[in-house]
Amino acid sequence: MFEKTPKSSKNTKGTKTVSATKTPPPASAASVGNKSTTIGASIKIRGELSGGENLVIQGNVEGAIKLKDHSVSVGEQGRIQADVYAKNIIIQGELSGDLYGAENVTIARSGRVNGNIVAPRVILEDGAKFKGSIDMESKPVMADTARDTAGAPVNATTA
Amino acid sequence: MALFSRYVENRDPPRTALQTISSPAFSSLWKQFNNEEQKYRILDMGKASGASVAFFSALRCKLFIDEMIPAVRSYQASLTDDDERHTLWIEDLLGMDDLGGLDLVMCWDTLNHIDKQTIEPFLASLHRLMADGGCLHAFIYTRRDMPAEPGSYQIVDAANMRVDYPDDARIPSPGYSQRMLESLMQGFRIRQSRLLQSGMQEYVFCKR
Repeated sequence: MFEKTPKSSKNTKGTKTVSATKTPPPASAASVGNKSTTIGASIKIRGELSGGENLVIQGNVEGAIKLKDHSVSVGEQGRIQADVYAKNIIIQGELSGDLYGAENVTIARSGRVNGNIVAPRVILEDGAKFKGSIDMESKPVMADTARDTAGAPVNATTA
Repeated sequence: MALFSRYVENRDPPRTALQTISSPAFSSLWKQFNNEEQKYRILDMGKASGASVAFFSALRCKLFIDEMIPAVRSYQASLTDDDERHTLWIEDLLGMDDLGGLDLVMCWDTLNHIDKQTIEPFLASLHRLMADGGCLHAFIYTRRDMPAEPGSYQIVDAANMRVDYPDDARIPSPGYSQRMLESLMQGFRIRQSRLLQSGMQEYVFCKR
């Protein structure tokens, strides 16, 4: 399982950071919002993740990730086999599945994605590996279940 | 020492791994992709490139991306000597169910790296996947040798592309002439053909 540490701190810029694991979240994760949960590198989750805050994944996730109005960041150690529904999605690790971004999907230099992307804005950084299709519609399809469960606490079953 | 030096034939000009090439035929073709009501379907047969994704994001489109050469090479390796006449399904090679109705195919230098045994079924499969009037953009090497591996193409703008080759190794080029291509590409017509300074011939083929 994963959990947030109860202690959080404010940095010199006044933004809130949460340190849940020994592995620091990717730099880009800090910019996606002011409240986030990190799934550590040693954690494996099988099932559906949903919730009302940003998520940083350094571990393994199989299933589905649905975070309406929030961001999902897969760190360099993250290994995902899941469809992801979120406002912003950043991939620095490996993902096999489809990505539905309400605003942006970014595959970073270290990212590897095998699947399809639906988002109004897609960024592939130099060196990023991608195989699949990119549907650059202005209004991406968001899963109904993602809408329904938005705001609910993050829940998951461990493998 | 000069007595022992040998004359070295000056073949093609020295090349670097990274090249910028002009693409006047593509620039001309691109002007027709201006219908804001239409959602275009585009296949990029090269390595995923952020610059190309950004370029096509100006369109309302669905962009399919997968490196074709590794998939075709593994297919070629699976053929036996008896498989003289075979059917090839690009959508199966790439594992893409939704592939079809393509308005534009960025073939880059893929055709240069496909065996002559496979190129006809490859093109026939591509023809099936393209929309009526859909276009295929390709670069063909006209000189006797070419880079050993396909380059990674990035669209700088419609009139210029950047190619990054993994190394300077070179192999003999199939050297397809326009007449040879016309005979191989049943169901296509050549819409534009331009000889570039780089020694490559730039083609735009359209589905009849």
